[in-house]
Order: sequence, then structure tokens, then C-alpha cells
Amino acid sequence: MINTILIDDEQNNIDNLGILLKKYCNEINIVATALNIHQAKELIYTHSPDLIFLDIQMPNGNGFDLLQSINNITFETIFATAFDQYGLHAIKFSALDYILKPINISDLVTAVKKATKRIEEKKQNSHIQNLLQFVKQPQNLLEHKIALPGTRETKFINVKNIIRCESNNSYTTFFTIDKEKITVSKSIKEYEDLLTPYGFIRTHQSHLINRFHITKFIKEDGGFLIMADLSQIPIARQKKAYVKDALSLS
Amino acid sequence: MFICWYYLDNMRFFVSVYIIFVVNATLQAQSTWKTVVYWGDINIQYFAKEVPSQRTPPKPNDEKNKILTEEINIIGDTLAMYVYRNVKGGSTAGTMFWNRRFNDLIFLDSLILRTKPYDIRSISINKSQPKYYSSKQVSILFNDKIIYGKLNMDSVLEMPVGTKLTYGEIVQRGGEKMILFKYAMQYQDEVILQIADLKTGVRSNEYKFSHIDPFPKLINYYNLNQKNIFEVINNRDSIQLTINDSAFGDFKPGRLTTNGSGVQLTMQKYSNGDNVRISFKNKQAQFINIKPEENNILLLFQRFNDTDTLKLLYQFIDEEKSDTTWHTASDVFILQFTNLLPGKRYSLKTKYNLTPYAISYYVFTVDINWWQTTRTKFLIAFFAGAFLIGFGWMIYRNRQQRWLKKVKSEKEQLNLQLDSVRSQLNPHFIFNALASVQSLINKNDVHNANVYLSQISTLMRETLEYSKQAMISLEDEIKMITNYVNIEQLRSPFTYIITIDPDIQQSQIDVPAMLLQPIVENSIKHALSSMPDGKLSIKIFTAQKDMHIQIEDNGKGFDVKNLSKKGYGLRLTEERIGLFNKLYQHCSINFNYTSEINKGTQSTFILNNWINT
Repeated sequence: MINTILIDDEQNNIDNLGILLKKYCNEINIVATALNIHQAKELIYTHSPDLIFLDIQMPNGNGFDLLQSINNITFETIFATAFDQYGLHAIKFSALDYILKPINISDLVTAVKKATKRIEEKKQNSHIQNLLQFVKQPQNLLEHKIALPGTRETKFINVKNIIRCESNNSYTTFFTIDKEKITVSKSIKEYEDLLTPYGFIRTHQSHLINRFHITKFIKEDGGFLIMADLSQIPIARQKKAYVKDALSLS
Repeated sequence: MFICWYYLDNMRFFVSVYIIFVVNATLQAQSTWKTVVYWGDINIQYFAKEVPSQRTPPKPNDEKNKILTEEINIIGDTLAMYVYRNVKGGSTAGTMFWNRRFNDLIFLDSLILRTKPYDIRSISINKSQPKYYSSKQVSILFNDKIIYGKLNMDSVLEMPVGTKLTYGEIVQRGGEKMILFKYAMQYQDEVILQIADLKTGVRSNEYKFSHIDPFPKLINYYNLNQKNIFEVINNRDSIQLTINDSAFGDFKPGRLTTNGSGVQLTMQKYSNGDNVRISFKNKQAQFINIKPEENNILLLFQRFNDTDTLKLLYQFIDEEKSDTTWHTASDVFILQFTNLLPGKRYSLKTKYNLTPYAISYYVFTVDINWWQTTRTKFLIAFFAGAFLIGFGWMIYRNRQQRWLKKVKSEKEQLNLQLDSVRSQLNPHFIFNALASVQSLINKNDVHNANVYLSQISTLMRETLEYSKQAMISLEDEIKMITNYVNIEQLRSPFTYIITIDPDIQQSQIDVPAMLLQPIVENSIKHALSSMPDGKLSIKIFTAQKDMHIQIEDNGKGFDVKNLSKKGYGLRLTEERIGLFNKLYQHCSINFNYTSEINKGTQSTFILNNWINT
């Protein structure tokens, strides 16, 4: 059984999540519920839960505040939010699990299964630390690290060290300045959304590049880019104007 | 190796060119020669024309000094030859003239040396200095003694020893004899030579040489448009001018004299004999352009001592009339042209009757008047263009600005609508409301789930509908806010009361759509949602023509002065009100709020001049 605390400022939401968990996730054992982060913090110290469901936006201190106030995080976290673009960006950046309200049952089941697996393997969840680091310095874009969950381990790569990403069906391979190749089983579209604020440009259906690692723009053959790792990145015809525009900005 | 080959190659090239040149000259000469004429120690071979009969052909005595000629022209009394001269190391070319009238007159190139018979027996080419042979150089054989020098047009005599001499009296040693050389400057056509024996100190007679330039040389030109001068009549020795000025009266013709710098005319007045001096300012002859106000000009040509036989012929051609007949000038050194037209070009050809082959050619361009110049035209065009462009630009700007203003106001109107949409469609609210419904479903509270779902859909429907219009009736606004508050109540338990002055005709009064929602949302979000006994109150009442809307809560409140960052709702409301006040002049909205910690917040909209009585 996985001991779980539900944290949400609305009783309705706690009730709803409780009902769904009982119905679809038998392994979950709800040990407590909290309506604000102060209550939640006490309950966490009392119960030492395996898992918490955490609402991000709450009137008296948000979910990230709660995590920051806890010294040693030994539990898994599944975030729950109705709509919070900034919070979701931070969560996705650290490859943490989240559910959206109103709750999609299959998303909930998947998130719980993944959390259960990590709890059983007793893996230290370093993603949370990355998230907290991210939340601490929201302005310092160049120091942000992105979590790249591989099959065995998750790597946290400084965004500025990524040269480019290449898509291979539903996989995305990252090429870093340390000549590392990291393949992640997520689509390039997801990373395009995450990395666009960091100066990344989707030049092609299967290429996402870091603008700061472009060494040359070759006009021949419809135009392509030479990156710092000497790779040649094609530019799709319909993206040409967009890429030029983006490059002139840097 | 390479350098050596290069050198050889060059040598070969040079030699071959030389051979070709010589052979070519010889062949051409051989094929065209017809007659051989001997003259002194120069033998002349020429073709095509017969030699004038009066002349005694000279005897050949110097084969080395043979002059080859390809072409001879006989013009009047003059024989003009284009000659090759065999000189040491090659040959050279130039024009040679011989005039029968003067019997022993020889021209080398453009220089004429005229002597009296037997003073100079012959003129020969300087053999010793082929290197310096030029068109200006002659050697003179005088009484079996060679006196030679270089006489050039600048009146400088250079002796072979290299002494540079100026004109005037010049002493030069030539063997035991001394040559005195005088260059008579008066008319620039006389050279005087005298030989002095250095041993005895005896001087010979002076030998005068006249030399005239066969090309009429224009010395000066004068503007006749100066005041007083009306007409100039040329006589042989004088110029007669009629002066049209009552202050001076009539004048007798005077004598025109020239000096180095200008022309001076001395005239005598008929009545009292006063002398009046009129000066013409000198201008250099190398002109081409004359000013439009100087379109009457007097041309002064080089003057010679002996003008008995010399006559000046001229052709004066303007661009349109090509009159090619030669006119004889009434004076050998003066020509006059009047009424030259601005912007026109006139060409003047002059020659002497004695040397008709030597034609001087001058082109006069009369400048156009300043208002006719390209620059002026350009400037006028430029200013006209600039004015037109400026005017066009002003019209364009005006239109553009009006258009921009229109677009801007449309855009602002649109913004007002869009902002209302944005405020209504706060996604956080929508999803949270839906989550509440989900919770009701999962709790099997089917009735309430239905109620809230329909409330949410009503709100969304109204949102879509009202987003098309900036203003809605107060009635609709109240309905919508009630609906909204009801949905929010599901999430957080609070009570609310809406009080509206019964005098207010809710359906008749329009307000900006969703004006209250963001403020109400703020009250719920920041105050009522986190407290047990929350109360929300909305009061609407009138004060004269103004309408007041008060939104009040009993929440935790905030410090108005230390509000670190205005929330989205507050900013949005203020922006919308600002836009509204810009768009409508006759009425306006004031918005203010007060808050007290732990007591609550009160926000007031005052809609000024809102009620029509």
C-alpha cells in the first residue's frame, strides 16, 4: 500500500480525487488530506507519506512553497492543477508527473503507476530538487537544467549545453556540447514547447536547434545550418522565413 | 634564363619593328614619287603636282639630307609638304612649307622664317643634333657660316652649348665670330641678327628677319558691351568708334594702340578737344566661353609690321547657318562680331591670304543666362519636385493619420471587447468550475451537477455572445455576475447580496460587458475563498446623473499603499476603463478601491453622467 496525502484548497477537489483514487488505484492508501500548505507540512512530518497529490495554486502559499519548506523530501509528488502555465512549465521541465483538473482518469492511473514503480525501486527522486532549483531562479534562464529521463536514469542537462535535438518517431535525441547523446521517449514537439523560451528553433520537422550553437548559415541547397558539433541541419522550406527571422533576432 | 630570353625577345621585337618601318617608308615613297625637286642642299622628292614655274630648281649637293615626302599640297603660292627626314638613327616627320612669293621662304612646321633674298642662302636641317630635332627648331646657314640655334615660339633662343637665353640682345660665341641676336618684341615678328668678330670687334650690318605665324593667332578679345560704345568701324590703321552718350557728345575717331595688357583708345571730342581715354581690359586669347552679357566682341589678332600684302580671311559659322565662304576682314588684325546669342556655339576659322593652308580654328560658346543654366533648371525642378513631394506627403500623412486614428479607435474598441472576453474566460476559473462539477458527479450528486453544469454553460454562452459587443445592459451584467458568483459558491462557501436601487432601469442602462467580474473574482479568490464566514455585497445606486457600483467583502484585506504588484484583474479593469474614457467623451468611469486589513475591501465604480433624465 502506498500511503498518500491529498493537498488541495478545495474540499470538493479532495473528495473528487479521493473517490477516483479509491475506484481506479487500489494500491493508494489515503492517510490524510490538507486544505493548505501549513496543515500539509505537519501531516507530512506526522505520516511520512510515500506519495502526495499537490495542488499548485492555493490561497496561502502554493505547492512549490510547501516543497521548499521541507528539508528532506522522501516522497513522490504528483501535481494537480486546473490551469497554471508557469507551474506546468516548471513541472514539465523537470519531467515530473502531473494531472490536470478536471481529472482524466487514465492520466491519473498512469501517473500513479509510475510513482508506484519508483517507490518500489526506492529511487531517490532527484527531479524535485531540479524543480526547486528552477523555481528558485525563474529569471536565470541559462542556468536552468532540463530533466531528460532515459530508460535507466534521468540526466539533468544545462539547457545552454544542448546543441540540438533530433527526432526519430516518438523518440528525441539530444546532442550536447560534451558530445553526449541522450535519447528520450518523448516527442520533439514537447521539447519544442519547453525549449522555445531558451532560444531553440524548430528548423525542420525532425530538428530542434539551439540558436546559440549555430556556427554558420549556408544558403546553398535551400539553406542549412552548421552547428557547433559540425552537424548539418536542414531548414524546411516553409520554416525558412521563420528561421531567418529568428536568427536575425539573436 | 628566363630574363635572358625575355631580353632577346624584346630585342627581336624592336629590330623587326624598325625594319618594317624603314621598308614601309621606302616602299611607299618609291611607289608614289613622281618628280624630284632640288632646292639648295635639300632635295625634295614629291609627286602629283607640278612645280611652280617661276622658281629655279636648286642643285642637289647633299644626298644625306634627302627629304622624302608623300604628300604635297600647293595652295596659292605655297607648297606644303609632309616630309620624312632621314636623320641619324631613323627618320622623323613634319610639315614643310615653301612659299614662291617670298622665293626663299621656308617653313618648318608652323614656323615661318622670312628673309630677304641672299641674306640667307639656304636653310638646312640640323644634322648634328637629330636628337633634339623638333618642329620649333631651325638651323640657319648664313654667308657660308653656320649659325644655328633653336628658336621656339616662346621667343627663347637656345644655343647648342645649352646656354639658355632670353629675348633681347644676346651674345653668343660661334667659332671666332659672335652672334648678336635680337628679338624684336614690338610686333613679335622680327628677329635681328648681327655678327661680330671677336678678334677685331667689328660688327656686321644688322640682318632683319621677319617671322610670322602662318596661323592667325588670336591675342585678345574685348567686350564691346561696355557702356558708351555703340559701334566700332575698322579702318586700316585705326578703329572708329561712335559713342552714344549724351554726357560726352560726339567724338572724333581716335587711334587704337595696344600694349601687353590691353587696348587703349584715345579719342578727341569734337567740341572742345578734350581727350577721352577708353580702356579695354585684356583677356587671354585661350578662351572659349564668353558671358551672355558680353555678346558683342572685338577680336584682336597678332599684329605684324608688314601688313601691305597680308589679309585676314575668316569664316564665322553658327550652328544653324553653315556659311563656308571666306570673308576678307577689313583689318588684318581685328574682327568684330555682334549680337551673339546666349547658349549658342560659333566657330571661327581664320587664315592669312599668304598662308591659306594654316587655318586657326576657334569655337566661341556663349554662356546661357543664369536662368537658363542646367543648374538653375535643376534647382527649379528640384524645388518644384520637393514642394510637390512635400505637399503630397502632407496629404498622404493627413490621410494616413486619419486612417490610423480610425484604425486605432477600431482597435481600441476591439480591445475593449477582447478584454471582456479574456476576463470572462479566465481559464483557471473555467477548469476549476469544471473540476467542481466532476467532483459532484463522482459524489453522485446528480442534481447539483446538472445545476452547476448548466450554470457554467450559461456563463460560457453569454461570454461568447457578449464578446461581440462592448456594452451590455445592466440587467444582463447582473444576471451574469449572479451566475458567476453562484458557480464560485460551489467551490468556496460564502454568502452574497446584490442591492440595486429600484429607480434604476436595469434594462435601459448599458455598462461595459463584464466590468464587475474581475473585481468580484478578486474578492472571492483573495478574501472569501480562504475564510469561513465570507460575505460579498454588491450595491448599485445613483447620485444625480452618476451611477455608483460598490463591491464589498469582509475578507482579510490588503495594504493599498504597499500593493507590490497589481494582479491581472486589477490591471485589466484599469486598462479597460482608460480605453473607455478615451473612446467616449460625454461620459466617463472612475474606479477606486479601499481596503483595511482584516476588515475587508471596497471597490467602487462611478459611472459619471450615466443616467439620462
